[in-house]
Amino acid sequence: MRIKDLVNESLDSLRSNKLRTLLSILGIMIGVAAVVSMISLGEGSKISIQRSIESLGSNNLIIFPGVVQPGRGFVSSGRGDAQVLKKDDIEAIRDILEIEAISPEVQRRFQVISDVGNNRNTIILGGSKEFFVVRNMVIDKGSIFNDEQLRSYAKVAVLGNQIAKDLFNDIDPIDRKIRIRGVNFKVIGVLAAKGSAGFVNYDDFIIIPYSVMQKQLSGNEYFNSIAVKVNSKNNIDYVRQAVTSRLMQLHKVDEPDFSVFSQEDILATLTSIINTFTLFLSFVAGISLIVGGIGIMNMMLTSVVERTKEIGLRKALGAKNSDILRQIILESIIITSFGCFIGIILGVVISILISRFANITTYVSMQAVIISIAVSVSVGLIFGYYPAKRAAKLDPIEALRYE
Amino acid sequence: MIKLENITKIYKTGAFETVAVKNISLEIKKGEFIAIMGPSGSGKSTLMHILGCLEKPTSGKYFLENTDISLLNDNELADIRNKKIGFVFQAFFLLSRKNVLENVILPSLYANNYLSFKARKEKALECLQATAFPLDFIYHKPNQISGGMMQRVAIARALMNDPEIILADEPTGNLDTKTGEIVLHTLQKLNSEKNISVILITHEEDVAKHSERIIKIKDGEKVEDMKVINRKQLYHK
Ligand SMILES: Nc1ncnc2c1ncn2[C@@H]1O[C@H](COP(=O)(O)OP(=O)(O)O)[C@@H](O)[C@H]1O
Ligand SMILES: [Mg+2]
Repeated sequence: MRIKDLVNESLDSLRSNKLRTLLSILGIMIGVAAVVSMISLGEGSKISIQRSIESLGSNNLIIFPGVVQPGRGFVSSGRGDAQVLKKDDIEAIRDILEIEAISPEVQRRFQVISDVGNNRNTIILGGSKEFFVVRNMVIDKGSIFNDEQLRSYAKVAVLGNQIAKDLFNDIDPIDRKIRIRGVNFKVIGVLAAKGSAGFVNYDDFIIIPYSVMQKQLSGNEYFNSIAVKVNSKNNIDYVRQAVTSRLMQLHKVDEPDFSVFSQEDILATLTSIINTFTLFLSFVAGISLIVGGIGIMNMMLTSVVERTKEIGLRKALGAKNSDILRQIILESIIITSFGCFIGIILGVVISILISRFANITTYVSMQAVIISIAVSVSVGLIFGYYPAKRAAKLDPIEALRYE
Repeated sequence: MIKLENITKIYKTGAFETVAVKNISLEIKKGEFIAIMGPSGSGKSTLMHILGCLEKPTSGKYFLENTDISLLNDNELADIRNKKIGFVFQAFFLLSRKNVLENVILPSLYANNYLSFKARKEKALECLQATAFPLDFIYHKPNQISGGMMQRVAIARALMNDPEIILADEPTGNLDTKTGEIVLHTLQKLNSEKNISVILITHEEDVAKHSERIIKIKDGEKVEDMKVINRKQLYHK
């Protein structure tokens, strides 16, 4: 039988029961749309995390207090729980030549009120002027604070781009006042927008000198982390070792009571988390594709029984078993292909809507499209095969006597 | 052209055995018009299915143009049905979603000689004309035409691949006498003009009288094989 005739016959019989065909297409369409949008959500998150981590400065090492337990990953470390990083630690590694800048950081969430009356809950980060170097922060208006201000406990603040707008609307925030936990700070600078990425919005935080942070807000002399900028990628491992041995010496311990991560470690960990997450979501979405496939099988079985006589007639007229088999499988594949095509379009639309309205980066990868096509054509093949086999095996006599 | 040797067909349903065809031997020559006649349940349809290569006998040999049918596989049998045999059924068996023309074209989809759409259409029109089907109705669906017209469509469909034999199982069973007569004359005309062998299956003496030779069967057995005297016919060879 010619392919063109085969396709015509398949389309003809699908057209003869439009509602049933449409419902089957719908099942596959929803499955494919779910798979495509889930994968693009995952891909989008990966891209945005990569971007944000890269934008935080390359060649960085970050020292966290506490030890990461094997298998539990960096995210689940008791970061901030252990209190081991102090000013002494900065001094202990200051003279490593390959280190360009050291940024000690203390973070807490606080309620902030501006002098125009706006009220926000945001992250307050205590740091030094080196924070801006290590973290690639660019000033948009005003200035950053200097070492003198750090030493003298100056109550000055630099605002992230977004929080500046939230606290002061369109008013220029420079030289205005904000109040954090009853302490007044003078705004001396606003950062350029960095954009939100992944889980963190890097425009929604306020930087103040860590000296003030520790004395007035966090109430102790410890840091949450120390970020170190290394002069070259090639020296990262060396610096990691140097830092580790010096801090162990300083802390007088045999096993490190802190952890040193590189940018790549963090990226790899986050990427693997997102991969797992994406896989899980796609798997759940994939189940709906399987359900769609079962729907097709159900529909094809019904349609084969209904067409018993027709199949008998076709065989009497000279159709081979393989002609019948191919026609029924093709019908199933046509349904899945249509469903897949519309599903991909729908999935892309959903991805666009997610990124527009939920403000989450999505990325429709070719990979997602190819996976969907491959999976749904296989679904068509697999779930069409059994009904087709049954149709092909029909005895023409039985079929013709069937009244 | 057709030679049956001791053909027996036994159906087994659970513990039951039905002998539908019993030890029938028979020869049919090219261009012959024969009738197989017998009461209901006598095994006529079973015999026709065996002759039409739709079914294999339980025992006995069937030679079609000197080919032993029992040696052929499913695909080869399908090819024979497609090329050499045209079926006409009592219940017409037209596909309701296809129009007259598409129904006639259907067997050519399974043929090995791939004709263009245009050639198929021309061939189908030729076949419809051979059955005197009114060509104004070729785009009508089967449910929009009369029973007599439907049976002519079915005959045209049987002609589509230029068969050697037409097997007609009670072709007039669903038609009134007058319409039935027209269908029988159509078969006679095809038999005499195109030299197609016709095997007509019926339980009515009147219908059987349109053939040249009647084979009577009863309870699956051949009881009589006789020439028709006073054949009813419009067309003469
Ligand atoms: N598939 C089958 N299974 C069991 N018995 C059958 C089957 N087909 C036909 N028969 C039996 O074989 C006998 C002959 O049937 P059939 O050839 O249809 O007779 P006719 O066409 O002369 O009416 C009947 O008794 C019928 O019940
Ligand atoms: Mg019968």
